[in-house]
Amino acid sequence: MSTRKVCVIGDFGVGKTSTVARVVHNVFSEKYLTTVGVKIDTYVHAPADAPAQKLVIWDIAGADRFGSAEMNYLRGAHGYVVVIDGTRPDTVAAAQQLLADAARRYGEVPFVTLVNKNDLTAEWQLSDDELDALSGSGHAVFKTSALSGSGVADALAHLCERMR
Amino acid sequence: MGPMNLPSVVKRYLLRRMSEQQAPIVVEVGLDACIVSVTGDQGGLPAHQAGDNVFDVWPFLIGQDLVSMFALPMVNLSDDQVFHIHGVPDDDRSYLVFLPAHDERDYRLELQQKANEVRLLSHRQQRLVEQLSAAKADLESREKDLLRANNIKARFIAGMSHEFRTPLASILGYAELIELASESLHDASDEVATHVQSISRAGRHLLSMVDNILDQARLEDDQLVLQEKPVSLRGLVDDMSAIVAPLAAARFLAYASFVDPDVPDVVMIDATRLRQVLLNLLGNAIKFTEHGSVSLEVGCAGDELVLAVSDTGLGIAPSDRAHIFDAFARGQADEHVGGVGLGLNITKRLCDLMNGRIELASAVGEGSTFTVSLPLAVAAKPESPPATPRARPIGDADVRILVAEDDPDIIDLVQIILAGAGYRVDVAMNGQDAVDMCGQTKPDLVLMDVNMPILNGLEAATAMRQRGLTVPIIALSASLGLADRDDALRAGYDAYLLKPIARTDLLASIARHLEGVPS
Repeated sequence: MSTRKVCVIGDFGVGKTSTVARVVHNVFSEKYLTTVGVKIDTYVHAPADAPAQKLVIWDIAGADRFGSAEMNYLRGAHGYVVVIDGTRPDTVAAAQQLLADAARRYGEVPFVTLVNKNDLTAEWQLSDDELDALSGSGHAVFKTSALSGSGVADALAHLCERMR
Repeated sequence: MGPMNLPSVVKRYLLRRMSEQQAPIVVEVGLDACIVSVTGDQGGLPAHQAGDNVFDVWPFLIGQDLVSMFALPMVNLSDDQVFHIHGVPDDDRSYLVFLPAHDERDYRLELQQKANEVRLLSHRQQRLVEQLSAAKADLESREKDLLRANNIKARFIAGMSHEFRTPLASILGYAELIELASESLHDASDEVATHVQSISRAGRHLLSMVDNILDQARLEDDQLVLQEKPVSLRGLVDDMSAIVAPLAAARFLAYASFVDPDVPDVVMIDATRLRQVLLNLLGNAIKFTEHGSVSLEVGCAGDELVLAVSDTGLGIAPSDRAHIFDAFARGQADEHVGGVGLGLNITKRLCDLMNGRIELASAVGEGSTFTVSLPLAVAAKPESPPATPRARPIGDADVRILVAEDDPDIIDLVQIILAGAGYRVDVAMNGQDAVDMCGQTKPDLVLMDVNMPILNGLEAATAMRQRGLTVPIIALSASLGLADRDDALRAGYDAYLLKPIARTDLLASIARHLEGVPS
């Protein structure tokens, strides 16, 4: 079974840790808990029609720019999960900045973009046009909810496919 | 002193202190990426032994170049396993240095948690402010729309009221003529007389509803302005009684009015509006009382004038009392009587406008008392206008009256009334004809509508005055706004009569002006 390093990146509070918790432990907590440094988890993605992959997930503390420590975390990553908060439009720019910083240092790496908190419809701020623009700029966009888990597995499967 | 220049004894001391405090775990790794040895307290690390591949034991190292120096701060392998991890290459091996960072993580977690929560709250606060601003802008826009709609409604109602008044003037006027003819000729059956009275009653009821709707619109639009003048309260109560007593008698109710001797003879008040308030209350009292009596009592309480209208009627249910002064409110007792539910709303608004208040005391089955309290302003008795000599005899066939009016029914009606009173009548159907005919017929008085084709009444009156006409010009109009009246008086009219007008009132006004005693 091949092993892949996947870094989860995005601004603070967008739901990176919640998304990982949903994938790895199938749990969700309403309480916001910040991440200091990086959290390591592993997850085996085993589709029915393709060989399983072991993912070593680096859940990196949220920021709108990478410092030198965070840059070190990205070294050798096979893929990125980029997380955006659908209720905070400014997290789109943060995600694009992080991707650009990472590409400058480590070159192009496969990634998927999760537009999270899809369950908060009343507070949703991103229009379909904005999401289409994101797709148009090369993002594989998935609307997700760490609360319900919707969209998360599809996004991860897409990334795994791209990392093969 | 730079660190490189530290005395060796100090360097050794610091190294020992750091090693004791940091409790590092050092993993020696061969070039084949297999563990050679481990030193330090390994309790915090996953199980491993010499010869294991480091990428199997610690998969998170995948991607790291072990022959290069690296530093991975604050790596959370689990809640309890938190390390700063450093890669330190040597010639033929590498060292992985794990520095426990659990306590530091907890300390930073607390700070970072608070900082991030503040930022998230700040973001939510900003969102709320934006939403509030948007909601405020939306409300302001809606308020403007509502004001616009309300203005349109007020204009519509004013226009509608005007349009209703002209046909109502015909209905009431002709009904009055038929009544008069029946009485004088004694040739009409009782049945016809009853039918005509029904037409008159229905017409007056319709007129009062039109007036109420217009008043309500003007009150809502703050267009209604009080006209306070010295008024004899006793005279006003007598007038009320003259109107109300027959209505009460027709329903076999006793009616009584009482004015306390302490009440001043003359007060400053808008008599029209006070009369409207009392007529509404007395009219309601009669309407909702089956047996017993209706009364009007006027007294003083401190610096207030207190007017109480009482009845022995059905009373008002507690559930209806809270909304009784609301517009279009209809209580349980209203189901069997007519009206649109504006009377008490207008009454309350008029009391408010007069800086007063209205209160209700009621018991179901026993009756109700509406008490109006108004600021008491005593006034001096108005001086009577000096009597002027009679200019021309009333009803003299030599007296020519020019009637300018574009509605054929009103023309016929006025012609019949004036001719019946003995006047000689000339008719013009627009303002221009009226101006022209003034020069030819030399009228003694002009009775002229305001809204007319070609030249309207205002333009015609101005032209007549410019041509030297000095005789009285009386407006007979369906527009009941104060501005309409003021405009007419400025344009050269001497008086402004409102359609519909009773035959006797019209003739009295004409007579007064012919005698040189304006109303």
